[in-house]
Amino acid sequence: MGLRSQPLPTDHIANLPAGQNAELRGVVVDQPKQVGDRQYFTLKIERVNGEPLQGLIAVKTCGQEALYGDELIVCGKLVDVDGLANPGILSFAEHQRAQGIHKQLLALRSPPKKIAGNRASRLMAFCFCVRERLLAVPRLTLPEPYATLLASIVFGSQAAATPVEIKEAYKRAGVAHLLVASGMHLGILIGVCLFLVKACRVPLGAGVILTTIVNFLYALMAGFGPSILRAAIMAEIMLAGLLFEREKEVYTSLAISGLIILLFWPNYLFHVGFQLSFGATWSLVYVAPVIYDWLKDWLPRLVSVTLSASIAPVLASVPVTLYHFSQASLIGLLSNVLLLPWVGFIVVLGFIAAVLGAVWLPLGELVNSANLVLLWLAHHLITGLAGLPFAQIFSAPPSLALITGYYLALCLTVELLRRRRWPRLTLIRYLSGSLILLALIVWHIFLTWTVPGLCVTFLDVGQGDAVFILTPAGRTVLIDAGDGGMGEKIVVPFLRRHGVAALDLVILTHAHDDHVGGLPEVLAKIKVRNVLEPGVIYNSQAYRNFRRLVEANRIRYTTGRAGQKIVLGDGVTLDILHPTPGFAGNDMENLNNTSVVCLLSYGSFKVMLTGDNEHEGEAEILRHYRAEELRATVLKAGHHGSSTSTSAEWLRAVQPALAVISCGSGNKFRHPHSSTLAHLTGAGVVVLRTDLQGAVTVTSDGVRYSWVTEKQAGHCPGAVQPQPGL
Amino acid sequence: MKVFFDSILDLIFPPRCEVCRKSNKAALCPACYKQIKFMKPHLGIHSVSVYDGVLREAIHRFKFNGRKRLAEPLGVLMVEYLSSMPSLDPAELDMIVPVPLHPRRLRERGFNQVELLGSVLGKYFGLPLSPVLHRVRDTRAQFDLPREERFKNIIGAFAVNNGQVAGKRVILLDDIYTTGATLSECAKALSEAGANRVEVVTLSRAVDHEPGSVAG
Repeated sequence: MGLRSQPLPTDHIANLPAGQNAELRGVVVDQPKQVGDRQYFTLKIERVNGEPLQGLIAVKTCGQEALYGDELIVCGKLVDVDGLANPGILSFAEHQRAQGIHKQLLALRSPPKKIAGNRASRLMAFCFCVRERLLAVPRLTLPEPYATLLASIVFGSQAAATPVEIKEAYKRAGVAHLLVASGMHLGILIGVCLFLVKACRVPLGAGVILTTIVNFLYALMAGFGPSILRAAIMAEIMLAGLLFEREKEVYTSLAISGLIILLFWPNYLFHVGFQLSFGATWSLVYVAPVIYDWLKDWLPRLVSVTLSASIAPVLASVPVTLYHFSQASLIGLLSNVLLLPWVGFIVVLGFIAAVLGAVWLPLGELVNSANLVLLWLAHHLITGLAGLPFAQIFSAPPSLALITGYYLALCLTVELLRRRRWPRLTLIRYLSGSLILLALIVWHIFLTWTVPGLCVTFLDVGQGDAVFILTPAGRTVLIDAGDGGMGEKIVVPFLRRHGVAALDLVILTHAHDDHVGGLPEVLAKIKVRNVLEPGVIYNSQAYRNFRRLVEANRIRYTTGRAGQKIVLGDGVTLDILHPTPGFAGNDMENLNNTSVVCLLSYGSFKVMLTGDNEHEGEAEILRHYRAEELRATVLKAGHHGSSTSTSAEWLRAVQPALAVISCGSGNKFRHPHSSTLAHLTGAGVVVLRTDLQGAVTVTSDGVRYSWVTEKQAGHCPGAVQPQPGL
Repeated sequence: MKVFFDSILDLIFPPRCEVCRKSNKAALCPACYKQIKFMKPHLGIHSVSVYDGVLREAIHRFKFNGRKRLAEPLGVLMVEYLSSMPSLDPAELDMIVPVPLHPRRLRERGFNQVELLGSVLGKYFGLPLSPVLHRVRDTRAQFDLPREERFKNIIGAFAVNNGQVAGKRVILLDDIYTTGATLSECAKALSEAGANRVEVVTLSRAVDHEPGSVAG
């Protein structure tokens, strides 16, 4: 389930080929972000090289002159939005595309040139101006991280540009909703507004209009995300009710705000923020009262209110977060109970400080200093809770049938608890109930059923290697994990997304950073049973961390040597072909030639996994094995497609039908080398590249095989089209 | 036009019974309405029902939550009650006088609930609503005072506009009858201003459950 893409008009910037230089003219449509001397903003294009074109583009430039609403001319290189494409993981490129941004302009040589005047919408400019003033108050009066934290809690993470680490910690603790400008914030703001209006004896009509303006301004400041939109529309309905002496009905208001939002932004239906916001609100009015009724017999009123108000949203949001992030916070129940009763004070004080501080800074400083105590407490509580073991659970995304079943069961439980008696089981009810259950089971089986077979995924980890193998018997093998950041960014999320709770075997081909870099993160986050590596000493931080974690986690350690055979069950074997003892000494000049090379076999289907093995290593293998023993259907071209690998003799022996090259786009080594490519295509081999096609998944039943790529659907010889992940 | 506008409002704000909160076009749904049991007049004072249950909730929402739409069904309730009571014939009377609200409270609330009830009553019985009573003295709120204090607190708090009730037969209207302190003071003021006959009618009557104190 993803965002539906509409066909783009012919004069859209997305149709221009990447890589060319262009002169763009357009208007800045958002508040530029400043990182050092780099500036990032979105440009609404009017002309490209003098030709009228349309669309949005992300601009990365130098200087700090551009402002919201400026009309600019900016020159630079047009590139595709950089994004690693892996099955089941939303890439940055997809995220940008959902916002209508298909291309990026790198304009680092010269700052943009302003032409004409500022064409900002007055309203937006005013909002940005107010927001800047208000956001400046915490920044000037509080130490980090509390300044960012307060800004995020009061204005939402979108407005405050909250760093990822804080967001992740809060997600882990199950309190990510604190960082989203939403109902609680607006509720407080509007409550204060109405109180002031009443205290000043402003007539009702004028009071409602004033509050509406405040409501609208806050929503604009917070950035018009789905949750703030929902809250703002519901607040407006409540205000209109005041005016017409009508009382709002929550379900109706919720439905109306949903209708309005989806009318304008239909894509929001698939937006995780939309789903969480509506789910949590629905749960608060539907599920929470039942929990409260149930708790109030045993617990004091305040405790049961808090408990029910923290349990209900969690119940509604668990399937959503599992579906989108493959994780759900268990500790969230506890952290919400602990925080809910008083975290509102932080918001109120933060608001007051921002407004007072914008008028006269020392006033804001005074209030914020008091608030710092609360912030400190909240922050330490949250980070402490987030650090606990079992704070969150991971699972592959549940199937839609399972999610539907979950919500049906939730509703059923609520209805039963509310009526406090078992319904009469008439035949028709009995029948329809069992039919629904049956339909869900069939649906679930259909959705999760895959052709049993061997599945090899060459992950897109930029410049580096990471290969994941899933055998028909359910054994899991990971070979390398890309560069430093890739473990956290790609490999671990990928494993969690696919429900891999433990790896039976991790192979490190050799100790270079683009192979070992991500492994410490994998070892820290995922249970690993066996590790196999050449064991050649290499002095690098990542490799030392890797070895330390292998020891600390008491993982069974094997030095990989030619001739070893690993049986993975159901007829799948992994033969280690390299390094021979002669190639695994600590005196090896070229570490690449110590790479563990292995041949994965399943029936007649074979995959040659080479690491960074170069010509010398290939020759060594050819010396010990006959050519027939080296035949493989798929070859992972050695050393990212460098010219120092994949010799003619090696290719002649392996005779692959398919070659996969794992490299990053625009890498400084200029991998893959054109001679290697020519070599491969000359031999009639289909070449797939992770830099161009994203992750490559090859599946086989032991005879036939098929493959899919993430970025472009390539052609697929012969076999059954496999399930393309999610 | 008004019908059209109202139906749109009904769509956005689905009307619900103010007491049981179930979806219903009426402000007080038939099921809740039926739960209100009439009571006999006590010491010549007509009160519709005990200040409890549905009626208590309805009055609460009417007064404190500003749900003015309850004036209609509660007024009709009083009409029905009075029509069923042979001891009081509204045709024999001249005007309806509501107990005034304290000006400060009136400002806070924005309306006098007794006046709203009176206008419904007046419409049905063809009697004019005459808010002739007004407060001449600031008094403390009655509800947090003990019984004896209430009588002391309220003495001389009301006055009648000159000559408006002389020789008239008057219905003195209030929402809740608790100790009778306010009502007796109002009745006194009306009699002193020359009213011929004063009939006290209230929507509800608070029955004090505290031992040793008897309502009335």
